[in-house]
Amino acid sequence: MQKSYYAMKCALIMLLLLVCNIAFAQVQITGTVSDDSGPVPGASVIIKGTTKGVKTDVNGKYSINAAKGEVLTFSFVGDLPQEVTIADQTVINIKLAVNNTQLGEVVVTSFGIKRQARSLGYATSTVTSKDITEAGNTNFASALYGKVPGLKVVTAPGGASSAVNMQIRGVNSINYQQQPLIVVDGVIMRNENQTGSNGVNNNGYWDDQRIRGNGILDINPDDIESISVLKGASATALYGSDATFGLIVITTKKGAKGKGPTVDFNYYGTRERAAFLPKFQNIYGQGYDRATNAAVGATEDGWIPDANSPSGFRPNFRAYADFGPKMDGQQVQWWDGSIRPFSPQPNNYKDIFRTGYSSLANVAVSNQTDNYNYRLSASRLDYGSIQRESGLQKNTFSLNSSIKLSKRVSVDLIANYVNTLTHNRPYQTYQLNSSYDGFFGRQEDMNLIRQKSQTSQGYDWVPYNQKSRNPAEAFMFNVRPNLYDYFWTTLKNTYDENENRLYSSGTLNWEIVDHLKFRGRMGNDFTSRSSEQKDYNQYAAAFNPSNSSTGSYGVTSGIYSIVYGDALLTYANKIKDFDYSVSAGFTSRSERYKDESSSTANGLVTENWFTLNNSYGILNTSFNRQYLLKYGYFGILDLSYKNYLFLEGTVRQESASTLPAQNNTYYYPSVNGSFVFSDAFKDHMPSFLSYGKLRAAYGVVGNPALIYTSNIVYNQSSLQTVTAGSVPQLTIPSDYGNSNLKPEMKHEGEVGLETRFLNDRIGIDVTYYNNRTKDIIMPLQIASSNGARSQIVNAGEIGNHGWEIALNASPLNGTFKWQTRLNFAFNRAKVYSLAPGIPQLVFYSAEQDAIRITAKPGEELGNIYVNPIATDSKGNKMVDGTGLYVIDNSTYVKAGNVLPKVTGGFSNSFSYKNFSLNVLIDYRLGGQIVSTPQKYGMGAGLYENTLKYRDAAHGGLSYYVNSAGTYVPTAGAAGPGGEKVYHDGVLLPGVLANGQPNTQIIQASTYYFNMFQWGQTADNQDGAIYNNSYVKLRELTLGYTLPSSVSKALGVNNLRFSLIGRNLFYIYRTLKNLDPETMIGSQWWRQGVDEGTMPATRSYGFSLNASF
Amino acid sequence: MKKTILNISLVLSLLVTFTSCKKSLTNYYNNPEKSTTASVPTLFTGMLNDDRVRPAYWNLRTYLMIQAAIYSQTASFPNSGNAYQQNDGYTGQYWSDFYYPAGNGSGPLGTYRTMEQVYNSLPADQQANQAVFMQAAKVFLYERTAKMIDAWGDIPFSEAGNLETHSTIKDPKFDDAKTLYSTLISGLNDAATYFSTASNLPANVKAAFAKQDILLSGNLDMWRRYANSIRLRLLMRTSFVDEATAKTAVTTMLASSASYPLIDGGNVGNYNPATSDVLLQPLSTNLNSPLNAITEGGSYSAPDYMLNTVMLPANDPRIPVIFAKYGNPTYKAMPITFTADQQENNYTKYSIVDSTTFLNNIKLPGILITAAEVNFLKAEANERWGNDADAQTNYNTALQQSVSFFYYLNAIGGGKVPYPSASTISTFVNSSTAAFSGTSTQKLGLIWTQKWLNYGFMQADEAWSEYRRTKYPQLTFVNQTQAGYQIPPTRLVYPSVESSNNSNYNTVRGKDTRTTKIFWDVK
Repeated sequence: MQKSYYAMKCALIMLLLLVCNIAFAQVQITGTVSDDSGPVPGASVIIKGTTKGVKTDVNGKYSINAAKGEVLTFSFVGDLPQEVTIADQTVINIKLAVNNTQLGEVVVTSFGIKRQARSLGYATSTVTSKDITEAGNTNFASALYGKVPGLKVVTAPGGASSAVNMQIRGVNSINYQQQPLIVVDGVIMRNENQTGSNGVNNNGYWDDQRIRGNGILDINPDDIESISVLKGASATALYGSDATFGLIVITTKKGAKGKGPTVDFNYYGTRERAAFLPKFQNIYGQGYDRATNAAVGATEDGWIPDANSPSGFRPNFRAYADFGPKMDGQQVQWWDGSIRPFSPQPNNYKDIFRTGYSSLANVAVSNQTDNYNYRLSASRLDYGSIQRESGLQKNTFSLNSSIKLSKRVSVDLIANYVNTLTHNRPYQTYQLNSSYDGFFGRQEDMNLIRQKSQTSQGYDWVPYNQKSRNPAEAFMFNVRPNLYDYFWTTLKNTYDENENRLYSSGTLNWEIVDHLKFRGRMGNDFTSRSSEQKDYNQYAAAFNPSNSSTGSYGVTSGIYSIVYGDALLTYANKIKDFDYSVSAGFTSRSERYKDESSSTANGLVTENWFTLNNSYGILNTSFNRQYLLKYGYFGILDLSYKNYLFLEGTVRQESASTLPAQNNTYYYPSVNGSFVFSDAFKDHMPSFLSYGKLRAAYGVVGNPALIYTSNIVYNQSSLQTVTAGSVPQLTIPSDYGNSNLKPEMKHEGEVGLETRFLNDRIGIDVTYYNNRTKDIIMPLQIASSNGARSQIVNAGEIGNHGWEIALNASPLNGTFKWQTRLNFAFNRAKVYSLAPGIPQLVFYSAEQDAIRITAKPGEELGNIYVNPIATDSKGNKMVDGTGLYVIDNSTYVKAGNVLPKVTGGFSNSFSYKNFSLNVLIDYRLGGQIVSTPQKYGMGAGLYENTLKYRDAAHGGLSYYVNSAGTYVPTAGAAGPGGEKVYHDGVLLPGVLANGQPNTQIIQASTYYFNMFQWGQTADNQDGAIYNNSYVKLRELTLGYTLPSSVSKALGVNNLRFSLIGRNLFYIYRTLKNLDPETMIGSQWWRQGVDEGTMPATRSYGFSLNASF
Repeated sequence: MKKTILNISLVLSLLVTFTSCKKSLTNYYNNPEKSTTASVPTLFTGMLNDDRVRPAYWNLRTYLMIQAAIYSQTASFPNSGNAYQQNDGYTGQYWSDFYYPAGNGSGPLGTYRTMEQVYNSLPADQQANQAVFMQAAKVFLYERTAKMIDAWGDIPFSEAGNLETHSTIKDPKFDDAKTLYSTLISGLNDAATYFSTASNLPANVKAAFAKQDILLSGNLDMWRRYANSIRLRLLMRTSFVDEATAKTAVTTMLASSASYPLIDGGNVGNYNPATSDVLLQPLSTNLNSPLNAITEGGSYSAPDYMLNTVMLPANDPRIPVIFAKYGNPTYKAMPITFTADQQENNYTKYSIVDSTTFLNNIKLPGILITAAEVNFLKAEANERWGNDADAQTNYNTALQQSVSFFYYLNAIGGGKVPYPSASTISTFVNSSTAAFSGTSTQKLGLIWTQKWLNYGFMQADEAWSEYRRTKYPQLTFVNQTQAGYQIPPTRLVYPSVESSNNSNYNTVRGKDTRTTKIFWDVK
């Protein structure tokens, strides 16, 4: 085990080598440093190549001793540094130019290598600290909505403890699509790799019902200085497989230069409420269609005769559908035995949840001198979810420091400690939305249900058929149980996670000789995680069955560790107009995950005593280890000509322990170039063009399998038998490995044009990219008779191509400032080929396989196929003898695609004097989702849209039922024989098998109940597939900065107060009964599947920023 | 000088790094929690440890109780519009569990293919020592395979398990059900022959087999009887579609009990099921009873036909161990014609499945075959092809053995119901409505009805198969409301997990309806 650390040893050896010597002869130089706003106090005057330097005084004056021939560097934050070589002068006055253009912009790229933006041959986007923190987001990723072209962000509902998914440039791996690699100050962060290929929250009903988080949440947005988003293969090739899905390079804040230590304080407080809820109907109560009502013993309206009800009838509380009697306030006996009016409770779904809050405070101390700089920051996040009793507390401490040991050696030390306590991590409400047992009547009062979900003795609610457990409080009638269970689980049971995470790095920068630099870095990301789950006894032990009890207690603990190291040797020099640099590097990463879990079995013996010692049965316990090692060698060649023509080439050889031995080492190249034509042809350019650059890049990135997925191994365990004691058994794997698995390779090319006009007031950046991932690795779902559920194979080739367009402009630059940015990303993902013998891949199948999300060669990736309504040769819909549509289960029609066509954002910043207003709109257009809960809800008559046909006012046909049982249309008040006339008829347009038009009227409820029921015989195309496009007002911030005279009087340098709002409303959305962002799950296609999660939220609050 | 040393040490340390990394790469390849080597004996144990045999929660709840038990009325069920609709997901899990361990079953087919691979790679002398495991595994596999055919008809078999044999995906063809049944029948005969001659196993092999055989503790005679008895069951199942073959084979078997020993409990009524029957015992750590599986789905009321029509009129001595009065003065089953609301409101007035014998019994074994079933099979064979007196003897023995069997289940569940007196049993066997009398057709009806009763919900799959083959007992089914699913099916449709992924599905698509009959269903 120790051996793996050898990989980092070379870097350690380097750390031991600290050498330096100095020798000189001196004169005194004096002068003033100023810029546009006058003399600059606190500017640095440093003798280049040494640590010797002074600071200017309050009047911008300085005095320094230096030798002739030495170079003085004048610098100040926000200004362009200047250098002056000392000849014979003794007074040097300098006026620094403000660094207000992006010409000198530096982008942090792979391995923390800083490069001039103009030299990059690939697209990058940089997001600043202000953009991230302004609206009080609790994590940086959800602050990136709409801000980076080509980056799609989806925040799972559930608030601050829920995962945020990011996706760059479409789908690059069918199965292993992961988050972009996140590198913080040069060290790779663990995001969620330890959960393996299954990811989190991808299996709906049968999966873990808690909405999980991911590693992104541990990065404190307040500590971030800037984020670079690197998208293409060429940009990320140096990181290799880890960055197949793009790269997000985060640079944290460093000590700021100023007069001594500076203290910054930021506070964000918001409240949030469930929002964008379904539009429920509030007219009809629980019940079914007439025939089903009769079958369950109710009246044709759905009433059940009940002598204890003042009205003589009670509602059918067991009915999952809402086709019953109108809720007109009738006095009826309730399921708890009380008498209540049968009236709608329009807000009852919303009332399941509470008002949540989030409070984020951050204080940071920082300083910078010539020899060291540091920034120490502490943050505290308190979050209360909209799910009752659930919330999170997070403490973050971070240190970012840099020490100059000699003129050639400096060391950067960065350490972050994050402590997170998550209490009752929110549940998906899948079991309320996607199971008929979770449906409840529109008349239910949530306060009553919440109160009755526990008995007065603190036990679980008592169903009608278990009266003996508590005769006084047992329910009178049968109900649908899931809502009561949901409250019992969320209000009574507890689940606490405690996570301690330390990620840190040390970097040695050593200029060995002129032009030759070495950098060695070691970093780690260590997490210790534990959780404790307490499920209370559901009823008194006296009622236990003979071999078990209720309740349970479970603990888990996990230790996740990533040790990372890299070393980079760079030689840079110039020959005439050519600048060049050559680098060679080594990088290595070892990951280890250990997960332990223990829980009681068959209940708790002593009621509510939570310890493993209280297990009824033999404890369930498990321990899992996972190890991974990756390392690579790489070389970089950089060339530039006259600072307007650039070329970079890289090559990387990578080895990964997750592939079979013969395929575990592979290499790939990349090349990119940039041409700043506005500089090259300066004299021939029109005057309005201030900057123009063309860029092109091509790169390849390999991606191996995830840990252990290609193994062919057996499960061994020991059986405790009655006859022979302990007997070992071996079982075969259900997911079969593959000893010939190869890495998948992504090939990507891109070209781009960057231009700025009118003194940089307008900028346009356009990128076209095209990528192909060959030999995609995926566990192919196969017929069980092959002997396994799946086999991991190299299954074919997919690709994406698309455009990214970013526009920015500063239309107003006076006292009233207006800056605007608009970006679009168009992406198309296509399946080019699949391995021989694989006609299609099915990622998701629902409703007895009537709905599928697939990949077929030549088609777009992620097409939704569905069994359609059968049609005759003329295209008429077929109706059967019962007046309902016939579903053709033998064919599939394309019903959409789960991937959006266009994503992007539109942001506007306005400022006037001390006021500022930021408005961020983001959008996603095109693409469909599969939502089976929507279909079930329609089939149960829950939504407003199911009122159609249910009465005359909603278009219902009038009819009576004749003695033969046929529905006969009529305009009269009664049938010819005095039959009752109903007004809820519907006649489905279509033809019968004999070609004649359908004339059979059916009851509206019969139509919904049957055409939108669970399963493959329903109209899945209309019930479960929906367009999903939206334009959302994502963030709104109104800020006021106190005039400096006022803030100075308060002893504060800068004081700003803002009102903030997030997710305020949709300007446009196609989904009416569902929030467009409720989808959870980490796999790409999961973002196109709704199986019911928590509602989305709207939040608003304020923020306070001050520095001292 | 210093620099040179440094450079050398740097290069050296890099070299060490490279080589050690290379080694770590392969060391880290395999999951440390799993075994990289397979052995025949341990795989054999893994195959037998099958929760599709035991009355485990998932198998009862999601397969037997909501499909076969409803279609055979061996359990009560809530009346709902779609009661007769097969659950695609659940039946798909059962299907998959046959081919690989999909979560609840042991994957007998895939496991057997793996065993064959390991076995074939062994040198000849070692093969001889492992043959007993292979033969026993084959018997178990064939018994499981027959159940698959009984439910679905044609199934992938001969080409199935290509991953285990060739490590690649190749969709297997669907083997013809009838041909495959013949393969099973002859294969069982071969195995029985092997066990009859395997008495001289080396001591170490014998010991290893005794240890790893968690079904029959290495008892070769029992394995022989087990193979013969399953063969008898399969032959009788085909006796209407191919009577000549079945008749010849069965009469040969019955004529020579020395050559074809059976699981017959010594043909003694008051026999010991624990030692005579083929029962897969639960692990000693088991605490799970069928309680949730039976109550959750609402099938714990006594089934109407079984209690009201068959058992009560005969004053059946098994009633007190199979059912409980549920606080009511007498035993009575709820009418099957009740609506859902009537069921909900009245279930407390009727008898339920007994809690000691079934609901809370953590010792319930998985039943592979019992002496009672074998004697019922013999009774049918003798009634049809032999003499009536032998049939009566077989039938009476079977009835008594069935009584013993249910009292055995009650006893291991901690039950204290005293074993019925000899006179009670005698009255029941000889002079009740269950007594062997009437025309030959009536007698066959009695045999089949009593065999169905003996299967109960624990062997609902067999009960459903025999009901389809014999059309006994003469059950009435209440039509359900859901269009297309008004009556129970005659087979299960292929689960989508197979049909949507197997490229050979087209060859059986035409037969894949819920009203297609299995080849032996010709009556």
